[in-house]
Amino acid sequence: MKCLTAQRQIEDYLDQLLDRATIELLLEHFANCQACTQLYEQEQELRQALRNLPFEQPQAGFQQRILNGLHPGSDSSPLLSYAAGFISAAIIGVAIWISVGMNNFDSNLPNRFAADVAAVHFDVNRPRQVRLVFNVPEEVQTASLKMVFPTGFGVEGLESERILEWDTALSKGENHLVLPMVARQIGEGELVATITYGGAQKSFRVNLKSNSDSDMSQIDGASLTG
Amino acid sequence: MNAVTSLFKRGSRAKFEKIITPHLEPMYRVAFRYTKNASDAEDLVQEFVLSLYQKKIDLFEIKELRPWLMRGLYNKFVDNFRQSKRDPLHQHDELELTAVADIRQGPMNELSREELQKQLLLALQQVNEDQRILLMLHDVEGYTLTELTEILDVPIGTLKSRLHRGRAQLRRILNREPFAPDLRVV
Repeated sequence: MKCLTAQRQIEDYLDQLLDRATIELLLEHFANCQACTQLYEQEQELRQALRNLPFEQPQAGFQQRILNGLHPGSDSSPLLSYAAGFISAAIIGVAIWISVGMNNFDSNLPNRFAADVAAVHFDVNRPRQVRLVFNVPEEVQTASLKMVFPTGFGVEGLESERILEWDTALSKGENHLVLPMVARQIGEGELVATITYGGAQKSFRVNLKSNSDSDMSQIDGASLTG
Repeated sequence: MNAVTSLFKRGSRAKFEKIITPHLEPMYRVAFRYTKNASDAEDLVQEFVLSLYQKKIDLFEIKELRPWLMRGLYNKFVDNFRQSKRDPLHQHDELELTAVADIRQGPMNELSREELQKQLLLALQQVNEDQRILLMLHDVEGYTLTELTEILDVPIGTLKSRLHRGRAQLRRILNREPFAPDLRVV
């Protein structure tokens, strides 16, 4: 192989585009030609330098900002944005607060509603807005939420779905999820909300009760037990 | 909006987020190579992802999602620059040409790493934009020519010649075409 041919093959060789026979000829030429070998090494250096070009990592919270941007005009978490879609009916709301620690859920973050508060009451067939507030100490890129509804209770329009689950991101602090819930029969049971992230999982249980003629002046609360 | 619609919408968004999230940082990485700075790169990714979401494209239906996304991102980049009347494919940035000329002497292995990076970055600014994009994706980010035919929607033969021309231009700017003059065999 002549020097000119060898030099023209260097790029293809580095791009791994040469067949085996050509590679052998090229390497044989390199073994006998210091000038072409030096050119080859220079080209290698250039490629290596290109691969090492500086790269600026995105600023912290990049993914969350992109996902939040799917809802222009809102700086809130996706959960809160989801909730906006539910605020459509003039229904009496109740808030359930859930605080979650990052370290295997054993932090001492305050539970806004500690144990032994009253259950959430429903009139049969009368929807009401239940707000779940997930309080996390720091941003979570991906958390899985799973809601398991007791028999006779569910999200309005999807009462046949006993289990609803989805992935979402959580912002630091409070993340609101508003569910238009309804009871279709008299009874009671537990709503189990499970949050999973970072390889850890914790469930919260909320008592639900329904009556045919409920006293709506009653102040509702939620019983949370981790 | 009733509750059922809301829930389906929510499920749809959750699904969208789940499938797009693993691709965000790779898209940012490529966007950074296109735009040359972090802020513009994030803006580009943001605009592109939002446009996908608003068009209600079902990403689950796309077989080769990563190259499909990268192609869309590239098109978005080109569109943005066209809209701003700065066609990246024919843009010649004269910025700091002198600086390149001043530091071009000497074998690369004699330069410090910082000097070398500066030299290369300045040189890349002088390369035609379509060639710079290709160099960034192929030689810097390591995408194969086969992948790039999908991403850039250009035949592989065209890519090869464009890559060759881009490297040659880069070498000329670095005073290395064809490699160092004292080593050139003619």
